[in-house]
Amino acid sequence: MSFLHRVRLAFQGTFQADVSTVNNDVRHYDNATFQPSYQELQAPGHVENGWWNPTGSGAFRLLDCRVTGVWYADGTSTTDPAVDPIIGALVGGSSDRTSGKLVDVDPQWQLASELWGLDVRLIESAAADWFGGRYRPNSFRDLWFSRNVNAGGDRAASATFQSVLEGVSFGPDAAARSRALRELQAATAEQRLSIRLATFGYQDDVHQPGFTVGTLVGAIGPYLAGEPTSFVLGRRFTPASGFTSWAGMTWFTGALDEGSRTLFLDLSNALQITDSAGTPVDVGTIVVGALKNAALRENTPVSPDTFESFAVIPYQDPRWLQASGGVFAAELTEVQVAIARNSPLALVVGSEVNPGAVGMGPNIVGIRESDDGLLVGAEPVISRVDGGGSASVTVYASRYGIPLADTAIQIGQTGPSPQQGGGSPQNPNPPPAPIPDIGVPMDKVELPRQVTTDRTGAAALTIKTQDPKHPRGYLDGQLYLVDYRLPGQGNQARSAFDYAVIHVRDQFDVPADPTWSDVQPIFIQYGNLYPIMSKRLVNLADPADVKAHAKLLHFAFTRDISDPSYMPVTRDLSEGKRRTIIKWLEKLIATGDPGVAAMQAVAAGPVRAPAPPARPAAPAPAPSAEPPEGSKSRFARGLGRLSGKEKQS
Amino acid sequence: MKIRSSIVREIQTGGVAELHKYLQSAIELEHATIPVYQTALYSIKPGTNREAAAIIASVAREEMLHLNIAANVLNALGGAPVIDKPGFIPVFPGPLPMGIGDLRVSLQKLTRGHVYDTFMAIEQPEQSLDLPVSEPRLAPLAALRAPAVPPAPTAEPEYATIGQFYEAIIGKLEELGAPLFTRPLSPQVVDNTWFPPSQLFPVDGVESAVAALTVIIDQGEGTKLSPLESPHGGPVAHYYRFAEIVYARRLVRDASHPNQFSYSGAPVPLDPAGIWNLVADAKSVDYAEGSQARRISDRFNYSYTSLLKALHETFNGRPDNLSKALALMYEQKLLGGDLAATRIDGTDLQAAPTFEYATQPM
Repeated sequence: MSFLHRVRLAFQGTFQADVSTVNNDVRHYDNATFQPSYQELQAPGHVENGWWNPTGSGAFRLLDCRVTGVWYADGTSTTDPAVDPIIGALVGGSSDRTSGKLVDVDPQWQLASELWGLDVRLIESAAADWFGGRYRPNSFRDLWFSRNVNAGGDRAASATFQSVLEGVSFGPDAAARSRALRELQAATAEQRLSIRLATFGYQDDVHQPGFTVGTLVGAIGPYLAGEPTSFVLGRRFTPASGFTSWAGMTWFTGALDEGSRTLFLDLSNALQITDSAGTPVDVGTIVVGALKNAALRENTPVSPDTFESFAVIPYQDPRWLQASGGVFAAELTEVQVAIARNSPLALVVGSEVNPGAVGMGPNIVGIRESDDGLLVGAEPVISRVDGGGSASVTVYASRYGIPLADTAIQIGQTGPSPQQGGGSPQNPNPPPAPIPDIGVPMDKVELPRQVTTDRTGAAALTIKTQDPKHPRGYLDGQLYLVDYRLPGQGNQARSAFDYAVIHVRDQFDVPADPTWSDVQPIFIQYGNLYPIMSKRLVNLADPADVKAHAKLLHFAFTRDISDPSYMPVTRDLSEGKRRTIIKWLEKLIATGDPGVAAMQAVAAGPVRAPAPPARPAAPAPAPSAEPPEGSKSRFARGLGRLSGKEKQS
Repeated sequence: MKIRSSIVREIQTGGVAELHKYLQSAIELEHATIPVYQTALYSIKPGTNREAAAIIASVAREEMLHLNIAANVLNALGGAPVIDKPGFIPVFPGPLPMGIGDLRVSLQKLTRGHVYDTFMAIEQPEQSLDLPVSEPRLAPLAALRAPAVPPAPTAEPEYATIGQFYEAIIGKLEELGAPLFTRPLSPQVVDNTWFPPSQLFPVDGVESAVAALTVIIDQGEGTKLSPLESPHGGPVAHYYRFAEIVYARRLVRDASHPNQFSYSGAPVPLDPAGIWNLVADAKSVDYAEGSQARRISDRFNYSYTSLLKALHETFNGRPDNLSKALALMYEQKLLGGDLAATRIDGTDLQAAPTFEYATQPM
């Protein structure tokens, strides 16, 4: 049941995503044509340089997130800390290790940024936690770019991160003192909790206060054994075309719990807003119910004959989104459950609806459940594979929220796609490197034409790979997008960016006796792409500096990939290259590499690095009237060239 | 730095309780210098003032070693270092732990005067050696510091140096001997990745404890006859290393001088253009709510507090947590650099870390 469960808590606050942006243009990966200006902030006149945050660290932090409400198994709830002491408690990150990291798998796929190394704690005091766990790394879903109707670019965007907290431990008296935690602990399985963050209102303009900070609403509920960890196998609402329905609603998921006769809707990312805080666009009353006529489309009127109204959604109440975490729950009657079980659900929009008596006139289907109630989803979204290895993905299917057993799911590659991950065509001085195609050569990825679900609606999809042999030249490996769908399902059934994304790395044999020349191209590329690293910690292009920090680099390159201090932060290094680096560093530490000593003499000239510019004080005059377009929105615009599928409204 | 002589007396006349108490103070003192040195480091713009930066970083690193050693000795005595508490951090500006009032330590950008007044005062040996300065315009500074004729011994010296403080602890360890070492469950923290076995080794008895504390004394003050950490050579002790910045030259062997050393080696330039104009002794309240400086400062303090927590765990039975602490040190370095590069709204000053305990968890 995930966070869409009677027992849950909601929280709201802000987050910081200090992502680095030099790597937003794939052409910056070409060491041969890299310019120092690519590490500078973008400038007026569409001069992109290193985009909007070239010195980003990749850090992701939960800031000032607090519990706003708790809900109990009997359907009651409270917002009163005297009733449940976790009301008002902080939901924070780690207290004794570095912050989590937010990274893209590849510059040519920036639409599934992943969270790594994030701890989530419900904090009682500086000394005690109500509970804490480790956020299982995953990527966001249901990204859209038109949520904030008064903003543009990434500032208007919104997405959800759904995952599980693992290794959850509760404070010694958490269950005794908080009914919500007692019920959560009793309901959940495998020392996990289900968590969903919705993130929006992100500020990517360095000249504005709140730079790299956005708004967050969250929900935490029990994790039940066997369910997907990163999405809800439930009732999927889909816009008829584009990213939004006529009423400004995008993809979202609900769940019907027949045991408690409760219908849950995750509206945290579904409805448009007017500001970065999440104030909703008032589209009129929204009623959730079921279409008794399953053929009724979006943007058509309903009548009592065609629509069974269940409940009014109080999204217009002040701060409803923040108070609820975006989760709406309604208790249904037995009759309503029977209807909902086999009928498409819908949100109906009207200006003067009486619950239970929807009239003929102005009540229009704002968005509806997918055709035949079908949902197909896959996890993990991102797989990192060394050439010759294979990726394991699980694909799930359900109909009206019930797992579809023994059902075929079609699998296919999207094929070659040109021009992914470049910059603005208006840039007067674009990087000269060519943009490689993704998805080729196709024969390096071997897929079954279909997989068949088991009794639980899950099908194992094994993706076999071969060494792609440097199809992208200056950039390691290749990126493949794998499509999955039930026979006959159209593109709108899945959110626009729902693919299984496979990064297949080039084969790289570890040399018997690695030297600086083996690691130099890798180090120079990372040094180019992550100026915060190369300017502040270790200049990876300078063998003398690398040698001086060899132990530190060895430490970073030998962390577990889930460790927030793992290097490289993008986690895109093949195992062969990683082992080569480690082997060379160990040689350097043990003996000093004579080759490096020679390089050192050359590098030790009187180089005087220019001082970095000061970050401007806020408020400062913006150099350009036009705020930056934003990385994700720019990438998505480019994606319009990928297949015939409409990607952006 | 001058320590109240009553502390030395208390150690000398006390027992195991006093040893525990003052080893905890030693941990606090060794840590207390790190924000002072780090603030100066953060003020250096990346890629500039490399020699000075390397000197300060090398000393700060050894203060971390000293903290590690003091905690190892305390653990070996059955004690438990307390690192994760608000009072662990000194008030800046203010005295260092155990210090008497004439040294008020301040968090400031790197200047020659700050190194001279504060860094060298912190690391002041019992008797500093008179070593010639080859830069003529800087020589008068050295003359000011020339060892005065020691006052006639009285019954009660007013103060002691850090070296004498550790000597007192060593004396008491030797006096009370092996029974002190209760072989507690707390394991020693000995990661020789970062410090060689000659400097960092397990403490399990009088001999190893004395050797470990002697490393602290020698690295800070040098030996009585040489500015080097060891009579056989080795690196320059902290006091003289900082003097290299003040006197703008490396300290090198110089047979022409009776003390065998002079500040006449390679230049140690100080380029003001490469130093951010950091606000001194900043506090969070100095940065407007919601300002960029405040936000980064809050994150810095949270990271710093996390570091104290990770170190506390490390020295209380979980040595593996040193890796978490290490990663946090580098996170702190990045955030400190971010702060220094951030202009304080409405001023021509740059923001600086405040090194405040984050009582408000994030």
